[in-house]
Amino acid sequence: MTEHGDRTAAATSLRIGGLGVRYPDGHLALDGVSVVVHDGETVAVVGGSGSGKSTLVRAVLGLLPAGTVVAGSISLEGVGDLTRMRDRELRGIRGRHIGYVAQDPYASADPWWTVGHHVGEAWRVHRLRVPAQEIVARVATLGVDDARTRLGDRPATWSGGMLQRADIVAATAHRPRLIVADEPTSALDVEVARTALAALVAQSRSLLLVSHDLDMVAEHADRIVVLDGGRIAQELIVGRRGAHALQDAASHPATRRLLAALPGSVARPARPAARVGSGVEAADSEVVAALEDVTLAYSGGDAVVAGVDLRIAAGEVVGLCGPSGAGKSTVLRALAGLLRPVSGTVRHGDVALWTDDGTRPRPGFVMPIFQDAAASLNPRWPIWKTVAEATATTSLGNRRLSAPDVRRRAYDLLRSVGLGDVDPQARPRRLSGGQRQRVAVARAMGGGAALVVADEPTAALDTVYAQEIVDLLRALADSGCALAVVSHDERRLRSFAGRVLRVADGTVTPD
Amino acid sequence: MWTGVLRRVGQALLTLAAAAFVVWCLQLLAPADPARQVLIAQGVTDPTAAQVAGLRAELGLDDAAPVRFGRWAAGLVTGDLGTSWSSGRSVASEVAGRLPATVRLCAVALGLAALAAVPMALAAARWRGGALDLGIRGLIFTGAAVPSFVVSTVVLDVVVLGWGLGSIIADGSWGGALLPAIPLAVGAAAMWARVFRAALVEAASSGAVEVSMGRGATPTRALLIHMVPPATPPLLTAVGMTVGSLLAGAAVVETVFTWPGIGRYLIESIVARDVPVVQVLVLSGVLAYVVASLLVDLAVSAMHAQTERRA
Repeated sequence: MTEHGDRTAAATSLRIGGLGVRYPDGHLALDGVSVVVHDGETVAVVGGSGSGKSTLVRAVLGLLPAGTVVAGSISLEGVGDLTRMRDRELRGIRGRHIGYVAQDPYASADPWWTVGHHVGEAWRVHRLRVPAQEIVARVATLGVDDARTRLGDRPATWSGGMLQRADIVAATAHRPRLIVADEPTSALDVEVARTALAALVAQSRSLLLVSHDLDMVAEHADRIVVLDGGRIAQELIVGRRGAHALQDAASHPATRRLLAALPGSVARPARPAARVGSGVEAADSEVVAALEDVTLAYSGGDAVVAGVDLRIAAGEVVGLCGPSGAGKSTVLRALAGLLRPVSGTVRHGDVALWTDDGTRPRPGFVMPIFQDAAASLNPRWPIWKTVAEATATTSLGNRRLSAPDVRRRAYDLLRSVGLGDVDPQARPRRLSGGQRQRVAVARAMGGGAALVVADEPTAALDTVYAQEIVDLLRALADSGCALAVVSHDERRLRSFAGRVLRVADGTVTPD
Repeated sequence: MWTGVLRRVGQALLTLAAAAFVVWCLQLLAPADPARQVLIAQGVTDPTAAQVAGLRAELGLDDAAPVRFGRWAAGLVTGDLGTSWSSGRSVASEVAGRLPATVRLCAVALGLAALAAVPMALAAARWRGGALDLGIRGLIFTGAAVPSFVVSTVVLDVVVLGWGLGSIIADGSWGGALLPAIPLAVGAAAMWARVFRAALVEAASSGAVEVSMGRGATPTRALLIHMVPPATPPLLTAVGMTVGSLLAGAAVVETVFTWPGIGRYLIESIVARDVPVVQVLVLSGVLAYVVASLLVDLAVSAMHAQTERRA
């Protein structure tokens, strides 16, 4: 624990003392955690998945599942110890004394109601009159144009950054002393996330900010608490100076791991890309997949993107970035041969797809890696079988999954993605998010694919795991595979992609 | 949007046309000479060859099958549903006389089912995992497992004969529809409650519910405001499917309660080999099913159009 010097004199907003949380299944999620948030201060809690960050948020909000055992105290200034309160009392405190900003603005706004209803609910749940004029004014202040009309629209027509602003207005509705924000920016594009976070900090009196993104919170937090395995690993005073200010102070291994995983950090210099180019044209070597003057649309809809020319060569990593909904994934689907273009040609190697003679590239030519590894693995299969399936039906011809050589190859592949110490017989649910994504990479490698398409492969992972997956993908490309990667994390994308293309406003342009 | 509606309506019409064809063709597979069967049904115990031949000519049975189908289909489109073989009256008037009773029975059954299913599902979802949820789920499974003729018999024996409530003579009126509607409603309510509860529980894990609770909403408010709307389309779909299958249920219940509707008429017509009547009744079952599904589909897709982000 670091001493806070002059800060000890300031009034506290929240004082968490020796907090322990044990879930009904016996898992001890938090152990002896003490955090103080002073009035007017922003305290960030960072840590990898499983560090107990989200449990901390739930504990402060009093939203832990029934049967959870809580030790220690959570004292909110002017209210008292929240751990001693009944549900009914807590409901009156939530929203009025503690504001809450959730992780994903797309998910937090109910699609069945208007955004105005979403914001107004902050008053309605406490049976208060909804101040329509005030809401319009406050939403407009945060940079939403034509706020009065837009508040009458459904969330589906709002962008993530704007929705996050609506969330902030709702969270600060009753001017609470404390705002609790759970990964408020992880679902947003980087530029949008930065401004949304700045707006959140500006609107909050004091803020407890939970995040896995050390880089971003270091610019806004006064102090950073690093959680590791449910305990406090280190507490750092950063004073909103950014992550570089932490390099010397980071003494705990958990902190250093988080720092080292930052793209372009001192500890990990950006890897020089194997093939550096800036145009849309691939380098001279063999073109694995190409889109030629392609226009893409979903059935009956308007064109999502038009006039796309894109070639990917063996051993090359091409990144696709751009705002949400611009069509990044659509381009990727076309590249993978999953979406028939309205016009133009899709080529896999020498084969033109979607032609009348119906020539198809060999099975396993393209392998996908998805954002949600858990959903892409068969939950009832041991992980070796998932990898073996790709091997047996593609690179080794049609073979039984349990054939000894198929199984051996699957085991080798799992070892090669760093899963040597994980039981190949394990089912996916026993693995962490990062390990599951490794299985997905091993499956992509096992097919002997010429082209791997990855849609947000690191978005669901915290920074440490994300960097490991990036290293694996880069290694996959270095072995001669062509890679197309969609990501909203442009910095990370640039750290390993040879070229990054921007998908925006219906076109694909070199960036 | 409108192209989608037109396509869906087109599909519905095609389904009806195909159903009409299949329903008509089934009579070709039936053994024995229909003319002879009709004569037997009309009380001629041992019809002579001349009688049979005369009737065949009268019914147009000697024409080729495509000609007969064309004549029948053209009649359907123009509203001429043919003539009942057993009564000699027009099928349209026979059905029209019995349809109101069945509509009353089905409407009361649907109302009862909704009154039972919606509160049960809401209560189960509100206190999910608790004793009430467990009890309601037990009821739902029992309701789904017990056949409607068993419920009908119990209602007749216990309520009507045992307690002396209601009347054993079914008159087809609104008031008399309550008891016969119970067996029909039980099966429907069980299915709706199961579907609705599952959809509500699924919606409980949404971000909107979490945020609402995080802002201080009561669980009941979160249920009604943020879980009921997304759970409505699955419920509507279940309702649509039930409406379509009501005729089959009505056939059983109307027979047990001697309810003067088209369900019992269907059974009687099958026994009497009254092919024109059976064809029209089966086809009207298909029609109910197709129309109900169409309306539900259109309503659900209109709801989703508002909520979905274009990818």
